[in-house]
Amino acid sequence: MNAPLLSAAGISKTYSGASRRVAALDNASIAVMRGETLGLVGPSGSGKSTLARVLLRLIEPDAGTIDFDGADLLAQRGERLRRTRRRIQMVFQDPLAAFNPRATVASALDDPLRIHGMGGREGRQAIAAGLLERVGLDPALASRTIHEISGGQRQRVAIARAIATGPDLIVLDEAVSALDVSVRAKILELLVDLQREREIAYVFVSHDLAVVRAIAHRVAVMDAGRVVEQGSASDVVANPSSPTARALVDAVPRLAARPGNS
Amino acid sequence: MTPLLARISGLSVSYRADRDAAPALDGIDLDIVAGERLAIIGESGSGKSTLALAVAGLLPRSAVVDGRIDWPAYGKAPLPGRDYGFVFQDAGASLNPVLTVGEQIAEVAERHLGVGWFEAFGRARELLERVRIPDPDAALGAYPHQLSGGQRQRVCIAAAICARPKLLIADEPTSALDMVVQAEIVSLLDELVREDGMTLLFITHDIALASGFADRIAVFHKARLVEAGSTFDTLAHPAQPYTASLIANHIDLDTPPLVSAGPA
Repeated sequence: MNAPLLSAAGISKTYSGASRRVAALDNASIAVMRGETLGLVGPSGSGKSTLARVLLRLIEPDAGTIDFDGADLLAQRGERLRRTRRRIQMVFQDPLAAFNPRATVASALDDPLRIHGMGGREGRQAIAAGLLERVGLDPALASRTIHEISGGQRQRVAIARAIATGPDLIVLDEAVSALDVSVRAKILELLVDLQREREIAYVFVSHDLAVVRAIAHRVAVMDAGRVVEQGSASDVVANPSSPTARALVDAVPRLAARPGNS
Repeated sequence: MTPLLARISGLSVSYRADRDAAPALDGIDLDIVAGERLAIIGESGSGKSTLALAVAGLLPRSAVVDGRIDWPAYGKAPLPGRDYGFVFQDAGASLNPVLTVGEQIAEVAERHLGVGWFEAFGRARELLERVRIPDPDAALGAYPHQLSGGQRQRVCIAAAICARPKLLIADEPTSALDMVVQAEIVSLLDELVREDGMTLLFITHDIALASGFADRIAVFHKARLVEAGSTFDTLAHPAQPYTASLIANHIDLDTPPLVSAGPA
C-alpha cells in the first residue's frame, strides 16, 4: 500500500471568545492518496472549512501533525513553505472574493507563475494562454477583468490558476456550490478530467453529499469538529453509520419524477 | 372551478439602470391558483426573483413595468404583511438587529391584527412554538445574532405568517442554509401552508427541492416562462429542452458517480 500524499492526524483548533471556547476542530484525522478525491462533508459549523484551511496553512492548528509527501508540513517556514505551497493549491466558493475584481484574467494567472519563478514574461504569457485553453476558456478572455466575466468563467479561471504551478493537491472549498446546475456539471467534469490527466489529489469540501458522492472516491463526514465517519463515497451513502451521515443522506432532495421512468 | 388568487398577464420588467440590458422579465403569463403550492424554478438571471418582487409589489421605483397582475381573490393589490407574507433568502438581513425576536413578530401582530402589545406578544410566542423554535420563551427575548441561521429563518417565517396571510412568498429561503437545515425548513413551510390553507409561491434554483412538495412548477429561463405544469407531469414529460437539461444536470444520490471506486 502506498503512503498517502497528505495525512493530517489529531488536528485540533479552539477559538476563544469573551464568554466561551469553541472547538472548531477536535482531534480530526484525514488522509488523501495521490490522484484521489477526498470529500469533506458536514453541516454548517462542522469544521470542514477550518480543516481545509489548516491543510492550506491558512490557519495554524493548536495540536496535530500534517505529513505532506513525507515532510512535516506544519514545521515548514519561509522558502521551504513557499516551495510546498506551489504544490498545494486552492479554489474557493466565491472567485470574486478570491481575486482582485479589477485585475485582468491575465494578471490573475500571471501572479502564481511569477511568484513561483516559472518562466520569463513571454513564457508566462504562453503558459497562461495554454491554461485558459485547458480549462475551456477563450484565451482572448485574458484581457478582461475578473468582474466582467460570468461566475462560471471566473471559477474556470480560479481552476486555471490553481493548476498553474503543477500542484499535487488542490483544496476546493464549496467550489461549485454557487454555480447554476448546468455550469456546475461542466466544472465537475473539468475537475475529473484534470485529475485523470495530472494525477492531482483533491480535498473537496461541500455541504452537498450528492455532489460529493458524484466526484469523490472517499468521504470523511464531519460534525462538531470531529471526523465521525470515513469510507468510500458509495458505502457512506448506502450505509451511513453515524447519525450525521444519515441526516445528510436523508436531506438530499430527490426528484419526484424523471423523464423516461414514469 | 378552481378559484384564482392572482393572474399575471403580459408582465415585463426591466431595470432602468441598465436600459440596454435584456429585460428581467419578458411577457410572462401565469396564474396562481388559490391554495396551491407553486414553485418558480430558475437559474441565475432567469427573472425568478424579479417575479417574486413583482407579485409582492416590491419592485424598486426605477423598474419599468409592463403588463398587469390582477388579484381576483382580494379585488385589489394585496398588502404586505397582512395579505401576503414574504420570506427572503438572507434571514439575517431581513431582521432588525437591535430588536428582539419577540418585538419583531409582535409588531406585525399589533399592526395587522389590531391587538394590544400584550396580546401581540402572546401571538409571537405561539408562532415561535409553531415554527418549532426549541425554547420559545428564551427566543422571545433573544436578538437575531444570538440565533443560528436556521433559527433566524424560522423567526422570519413566524413573522411572515403572523397576520394569517392568504399568500406566502418564499424567495430562496433555504439557499444560505446547509442541507439538513434546508430539509427542516422546507418541511416546516409545507406543513404551515397545508394547515392554514395558504397559497405558497416558492422561488428556487433547485428543481428537485421544489419537486418534493410543489403542486405545480413554472420554469423560468432568461426572463421568460419556459413552461408551467403539474410537478409530476413536468418532470416526467418536460415539454421544453431547457427543462429537460435542468433535470439531466441535477445531481442527487441516483446520479452515476463521475469517478470510479479507486483513485485514477
